[in-house]
Amino acid sequence: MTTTTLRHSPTASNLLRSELIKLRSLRSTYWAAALTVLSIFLMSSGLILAVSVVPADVNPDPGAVILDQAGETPSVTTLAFGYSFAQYVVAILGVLIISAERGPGLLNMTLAAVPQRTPVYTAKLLLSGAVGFGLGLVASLISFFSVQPALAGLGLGADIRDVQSIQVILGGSVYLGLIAVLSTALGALFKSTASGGGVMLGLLLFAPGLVGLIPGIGGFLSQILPTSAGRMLYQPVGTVGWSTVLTGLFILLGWAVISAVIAGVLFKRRDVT
Amino acid sequence: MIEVTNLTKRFGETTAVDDISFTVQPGKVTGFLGPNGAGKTTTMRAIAGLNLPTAGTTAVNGKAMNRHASPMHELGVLLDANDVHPGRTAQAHLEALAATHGMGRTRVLEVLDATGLADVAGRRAGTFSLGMRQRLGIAAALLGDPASFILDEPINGLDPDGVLWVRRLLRRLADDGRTVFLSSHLMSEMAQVADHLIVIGRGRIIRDSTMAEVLDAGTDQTRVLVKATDPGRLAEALAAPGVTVTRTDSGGLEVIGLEAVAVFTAAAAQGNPLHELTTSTASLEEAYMSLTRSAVEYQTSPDGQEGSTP
Repeated sequence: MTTTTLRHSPTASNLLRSELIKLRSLRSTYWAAALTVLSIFLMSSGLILAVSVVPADVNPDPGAVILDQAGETPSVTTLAFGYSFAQYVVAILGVLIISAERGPGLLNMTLAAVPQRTPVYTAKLLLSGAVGFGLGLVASLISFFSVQPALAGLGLGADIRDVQSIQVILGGSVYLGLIAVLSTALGALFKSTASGGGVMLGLLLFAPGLVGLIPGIGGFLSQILPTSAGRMLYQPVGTVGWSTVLTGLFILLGWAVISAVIAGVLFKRRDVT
Repeated sequence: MIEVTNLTKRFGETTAVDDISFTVQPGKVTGFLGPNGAGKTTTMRAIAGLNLPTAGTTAVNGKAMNRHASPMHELGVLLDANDVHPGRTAQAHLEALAATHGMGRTRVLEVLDATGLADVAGRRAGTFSLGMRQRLGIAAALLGDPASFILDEPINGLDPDGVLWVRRLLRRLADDGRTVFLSSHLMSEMAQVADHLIVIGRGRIIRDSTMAEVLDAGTDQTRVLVKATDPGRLAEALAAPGVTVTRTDSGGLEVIGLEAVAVFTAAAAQGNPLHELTTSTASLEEAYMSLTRSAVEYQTSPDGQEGSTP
């Protein structure tokens, strides 16, 4: 106790390291990470791998099946199946980054150590985004390369250096990163994992089907939902064009920034509960 | 030093803390005493910067907590021993907190050692008893080697060894010149450890004085317990203005307002043999009860004076 401790401050790098220690020291993180990677891998490469192992006398033209199901560019189009499933896992992980700390009261300890609050919140958002992006990227690369031998045999392979391959893989990973940021902001805004996660799942899962029913503006609203914007971002650019890809990116950035700012202001101003 | 100035905190319609001011001096252990719901935790959370005041200010070592560049080196906080993630090991919990201020594993191992948790450092906090969690909470408060401490009921759930250990720790911290502010709802516990006492009831400060003064105030009434052959006749003889005589369950009399000698003399004068004559001073708990009781009376008085706000 008599040790003289050097006086350090909660700098950005210190706070990021603290958040990383928290993330790494919980088992649930590894489950969520594994589930994200596995879901992208299974959903995106499952079709191609399944078709490629079916005997030729049952399915004489596997290439036709793939083209029928996944379009002209199956290497990247199939990744979309993975992203649209992995988004739920990433959303829950993003909410948990803050709600798992609030639930047991640990947030008291964290914010007593850093009473300025906003630096902690920012570190959580950054880490959340980085984890979402990183998991998306790793899973995309695994999926991409695992289906190339089968696709190459059918003459449908793609090169990772193609602009379109890079755009889809980075687009999907950025999408998952921004979904994670949005989820962490909602996790800060709501008091419990259930409410934060519930709103996030509602936004991803039910809103696309419901807002379209609103007369007049329903069509416009359903286009600016995160899920729609995400699809614009990670659909192959050769099919949709750059303006669509960039529009999707900006809509998603809007969601992430606006929610992060609103939740951040309230996070600083409200009592810690 | 911890300063609370005109602090008011409302939660909706409820006023948890009502315009309180006090200063906690360094070099002493200051007890914060009050019944459950009196506003102790609300006040401590406001000092730590977790609750934002409705009005008034709090300062630790001269500044509000959110204005300090190195908060963990200013204030060590234990608010609730359960403020840990049950799935995280004790060591990881402390490492995450230490990392916010760039403190590494070495410091974490030091405080684990100092709090007797070194052997269970790798165990998940969810498996800890309340006593072990209190130690973990104290370890977290010690991490930054801060100049001031606030500890909310740190003795709850500790075994007798642990209680003794906390008392010695608090004494050592105060002797080091640090500010130590701890809350409890148990007067007896405070009497063992605190030099100074701040008593709160219904969100207001009732008493702010040295422990010695509080003890003196509590002992100004001597009670005489007496068993006489004929208690009824003795009771009549003792009756006088300023003297209260009540029958106890065991058939004796409890006399307040007379010295033991006077009771003995009165009994001897009427030839009424005594079987038992003992004196007791009002206990600390009773002193405390009388303090908080008056606060309740003050609060509920419909035409309360001294600037009470409706």
